[in-house]
Amino acid sequence: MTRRLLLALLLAFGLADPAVAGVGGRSSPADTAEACAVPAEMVAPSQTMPRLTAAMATGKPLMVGLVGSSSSLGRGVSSPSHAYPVMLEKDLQELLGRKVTVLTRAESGLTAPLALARFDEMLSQHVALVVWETGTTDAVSGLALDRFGQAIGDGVRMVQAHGADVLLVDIQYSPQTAMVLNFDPYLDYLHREAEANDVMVFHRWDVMRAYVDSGRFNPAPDGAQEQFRNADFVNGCIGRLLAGQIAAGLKRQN
Amino acid sequence: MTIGLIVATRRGCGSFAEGFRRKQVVTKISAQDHLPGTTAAVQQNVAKGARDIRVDFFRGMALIFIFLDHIPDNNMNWITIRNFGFSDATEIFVFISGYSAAKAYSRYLERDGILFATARILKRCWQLYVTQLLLFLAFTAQVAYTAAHFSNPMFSEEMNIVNFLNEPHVTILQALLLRFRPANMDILPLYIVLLGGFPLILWGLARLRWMVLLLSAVLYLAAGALHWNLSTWPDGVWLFNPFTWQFLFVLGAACGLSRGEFPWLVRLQSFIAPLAVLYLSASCFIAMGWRFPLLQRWVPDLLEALIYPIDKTNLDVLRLLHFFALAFLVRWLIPANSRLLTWRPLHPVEICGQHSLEIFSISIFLSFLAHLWLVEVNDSLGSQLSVSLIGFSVMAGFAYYLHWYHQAERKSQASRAGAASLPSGGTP
Repeated sequence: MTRRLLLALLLAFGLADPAVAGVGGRSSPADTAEACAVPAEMVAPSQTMPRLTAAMATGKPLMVGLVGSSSSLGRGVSSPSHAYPVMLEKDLQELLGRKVTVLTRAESGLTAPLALARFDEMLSQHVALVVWETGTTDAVSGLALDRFGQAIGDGVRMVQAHGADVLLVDIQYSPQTAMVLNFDPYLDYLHREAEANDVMVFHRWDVMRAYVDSGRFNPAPDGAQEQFRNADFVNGCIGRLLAGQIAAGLKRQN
Repeated sequence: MTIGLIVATRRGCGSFAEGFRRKQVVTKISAQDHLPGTTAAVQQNVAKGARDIRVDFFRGMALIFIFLDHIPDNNMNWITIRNFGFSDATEIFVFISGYSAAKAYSRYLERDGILFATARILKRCWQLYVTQLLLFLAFTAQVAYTAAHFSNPMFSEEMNIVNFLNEPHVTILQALLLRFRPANMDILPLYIVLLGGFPLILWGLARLRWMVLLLSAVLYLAAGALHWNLSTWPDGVWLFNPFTWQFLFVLGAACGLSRGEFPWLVRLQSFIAPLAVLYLSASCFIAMGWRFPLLQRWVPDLLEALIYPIDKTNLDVLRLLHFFALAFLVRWLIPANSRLLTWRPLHPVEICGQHSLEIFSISIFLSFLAHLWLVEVNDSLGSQLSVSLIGFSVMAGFAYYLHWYHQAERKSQASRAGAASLPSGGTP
């Protein structure tokens, strides 16, 4: 137990070091940014976003689509305004200095092939970026890996063909769920498809794992209060880091 | 953490030392009691070139890798082969399983005929099947426990996995049919199906070797191209497609029947070796890029578009080539009489490889327990090292126990056979 505490302390100190802080809090208190911080390379923009950059250049308000499953509905947060898509909208607006609307179409059980049908509606709203949270439902239902990969490739190309960029959000992490489900092949496939299609990935798995490992997030909380606090913290950080990654991706372009 | 490391090392060493002592005892017993028989058998084996330590050694190695790879949050699985190229321990395990199955059962085929050889193979299949069901039982207990103690609404989607507990009449039936298998329970069903078809494969290989190899290759290519696979419940297909993975198993069996001698391969050695080295280096670089995105920038986009996705389910040709290159170089660089293989500290690896089914089964349980420990109790680096070393020690200890038991059983049978040949009053 002592050893674990020591490790947590070491990690907390290591991560509190501003040199490795992922995003700088521009308008939020610095301690929030510090609490959310992960090693910089974890949320580094791996790809450019040409279509989003073009949309920025028009000077008009930004439309961002978000498709996902239960976690994108903000299950477990203390109030709907704490779900990460809502946080993303707020943080992105601050970081880009532009009116941003996040259009969320999330539902429980939405596997990658089912999500394809949701894109049409989204694309008719002239979104410049689609944030696609995927992989969890597919792993739970044991969807065939090649069908999963195929759907991701098809979805990405479909969105890109309509002039919008894609950002894939991978599976969320808890040691308890990793114990009963084998997520690894789905994570691998998702990352490979992203790489093959030059699409940026938000590594939610790694981020949440860093929070669990450093003792910032306890997936098995004692009581409702801790559970709300936990869910609000994780959703807030994901919204913030996601917005930071998108903004950094735009900067990389210029 | 340092303390943890020291404790872990000590524990590990303790078990290793125990292993050695046991081995010495075993050797002593067998040396005293079986001296004439053993020597004759060894001489016979040497003359026939039958026993290749490399088979047991590398299978033991694959079993250790599979054990480590099955513990997700374990930094010790950095040492396993999957981090350094396209193929992983599964290829080694399947190939060598085919190799040794051919060697073991061809003896029965020659001596006792196809009927008895088939019966022997099916007996093995049954053992594998029972093991798979035991693993399912352990998994069910784990999920039921998690469902009762873990109720975070953030993970409501993931916890749909417990739905199978709501309809046991369907789930248990599907598990019995090998169609429902949760995390890490995919290799045994493949092995069961491959062994189930093995009497036919063995019979064919003994008569029309090239014909069987050709059919196997055609099935591999057709299944890959046309997406033939067995389905799982409630959705999806087998993670290891038996129609494609059979190719590696049949190839292994063919090699086993030709006693590992390939004159044409030796002739082409100087031509193949540089190609193999080149291929292994390139795939190692690409595999490193999966972990270090910095390296990935050096991999050309055109190459990436060409090679991805590297399909494990259908045994992608890149994985197959990687295994071939690896096997070729290992066979070339480590001869059967290499002193590395008989080096004492590595003896537990060889013994594990000699009892692969039992060690494989126990390794699945152990990786399960190790993962549970890391999740529920302590996941420090020291803890990861400890569970890895303890797991390996238990595997090795169990292998030595089996080694001793098989010899004791043989001895007992031999003496019973001796007693039976004497005139006696009655049977017990």
